[in-house]
This record gives sequence, C-alpha cells and structure tokens, in this order.
Amino acid sequence: MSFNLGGEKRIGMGEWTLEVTDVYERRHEHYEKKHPHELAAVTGNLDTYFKTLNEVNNPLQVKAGFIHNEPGGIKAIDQKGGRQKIKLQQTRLYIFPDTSSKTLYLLTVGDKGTQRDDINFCREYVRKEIIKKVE
Amino acid sequence: MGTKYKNVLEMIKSISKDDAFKELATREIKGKTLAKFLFYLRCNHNLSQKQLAEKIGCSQSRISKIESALDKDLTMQDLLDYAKALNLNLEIGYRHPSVRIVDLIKYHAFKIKAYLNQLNSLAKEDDLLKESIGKFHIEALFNIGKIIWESLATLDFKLKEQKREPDIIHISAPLERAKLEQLLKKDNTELEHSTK
Repeated sequence: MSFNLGGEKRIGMGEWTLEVTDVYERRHEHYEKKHPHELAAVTGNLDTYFKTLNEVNNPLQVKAGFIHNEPGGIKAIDQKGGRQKIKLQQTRLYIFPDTSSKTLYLLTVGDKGTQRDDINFCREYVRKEIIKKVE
Repeated sequence: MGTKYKNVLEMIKSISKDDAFKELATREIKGKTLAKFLFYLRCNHNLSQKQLAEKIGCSQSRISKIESALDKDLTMQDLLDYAKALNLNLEIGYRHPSVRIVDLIKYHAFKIKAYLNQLNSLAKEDDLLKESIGKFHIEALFNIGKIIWESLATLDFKLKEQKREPDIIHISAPLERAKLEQLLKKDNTELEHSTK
C-alpha cells in the first residue's frame, strides 16, 4: 500500500528506514512461535506507525492509544486495536525514532513481566549505540 | 547494528522463519489499508483521537475502532465523517490493475492541461487576473520541470554530478517578474551546458 496524498507530500522529504537489533531478532523468533497472534497485532500497529511517520513532519504528530511514551524518547507499541477473535496477552514492541538519521529502531519486544528489564535495555541501547553514533 | 529495511513487510519476510506467521502478519497489514489512511489523515491534521471525536460528535472509542478496523468493516459514513471533520472532499476511485505507472503520469498530465484550461477561462477580460494566471503558468512550468529534472538526475550520472539545485518557486506566493526571469535564465543556461 502507498498513501496517495494528492500532491501534499513535501518534495525532498527523505524516507524513514527500519533497523532491527540482534535482541529484537531473537525475541521476534521466540514470539512468532509462542505468541504469533500478539506479534502479528503489534506488527500491524507498527506498520501503521511507520507509514504515518513517512508522511508527517514530526514523529510527535503520530498519536494513538497503542503508542506509549517511555523515558528517553523510546516508544512502546502494544497489541491493542481491531476486533480480535482471541484474547491477546499484553505485548509491547519497543522502538526509537531517530529523527536525525530518519531511522526507526526496533529494539526489543516483551510482555508485562519483562517490562522493567526491557525499558532498561532500551535506554542503555539508545544511549550507547544510537546517540553515540550520532555524536 | 542490524540490517536496514524499507518497510515492515520487507522486515517480516526477511527475519521471520515461520511461514504461518508471515501470512498472519501480512493479512494484518494488508487488510487495514483504509484504516491506516484515516489514521494518517488525523495525525497529519495534528489531532488526537479525542479531538477528532469531538469534531465528529462521537466517542473516542469509535475513532479507535475505525482506525483499527479491517477495510471490509468500514462504512461510507466513517469516511464521510472524517472528510467533514477534517474539511476535506471525499473522492473515491477505481483503477484497473493493468494501469501502469507511466499511464498514471500521462493521466495526471492531461488533468493538468484540463485544470489550466479551467483556470484560463476564469480570466475572461480581466487583465490583472490574466497576469496572475500567467505568472502561475510560469511557476508551474518551472516547478514541474524541476521535479522531472530531479527524477531524471537520479538515473543519469552526468546530470547528478552537476549538483543543479535551484530553489523551488512557491506557487502560493508568486515571485516578481524580474526574479522569475532571472531563475528561468539560469535554468536555460544550465540546460545548455548540460547538453553540450
């Protein structure tokens, strides 16, 4: 799908890219085996966020119930939305939109039980790997 | 650092090992095209779900449901409500799958021609309006030419090397004739150099 903006899109706007961490890849593999419906729902919301990111001027413009702001510019995307046939467990995909490089980092994915560790990991990763790289 | 991907589907296809999951995720993404577009429209107007709900006169939960609904579950009323609240005209179209990108470009070129004719007919005997519309023609000519030039430059190495990046003319604020002539002169000189 591509958004047809009827000529509204600003000329020269660069496209955002996605970048996944090794930790995300490992957790993705675990979730697609153990919680495929949760991961698919989170991925659907990620797609909505990512497509909109490419069309607006500022990531802060993208607001929805499935997006949660965490410390340090990190955001968590959850599984909410849509009429699900089965009850989905709370799942959170942690992301970091780096506006300077127009890169959306997929940091990790977890549940309620791993929330604290996940956020700590994300903060550390952003500080050491992303902000350092920009500097 | 990891691998870079252009979109979510490309990422899923690359890192997922389970085919059943790939199908599930693809269905989730492709089945909500309209809802994603409505979501984008709201964000582009800098509105929260609550603010849009107030404009439409419905609950926030209805907005949330609309923006996560499958295409088949959306109603014409949903589309009309978004259009009215965001002060937009709703246009619906069908396109045959065999229509190619070049056909679309040609279609839009003919549309431009039709709109320019419409614009010219507004001028009638009004000299001031004629002059303004004339300025607009020059700006449009320059801007469309620039867009095509830039597209061509991404294919042609020699054109790219010249780093020709004149400012775009803002159609909303027409430039003075002297500035326009200066820009067009510069444009022609550079074109001559590039063809030598």
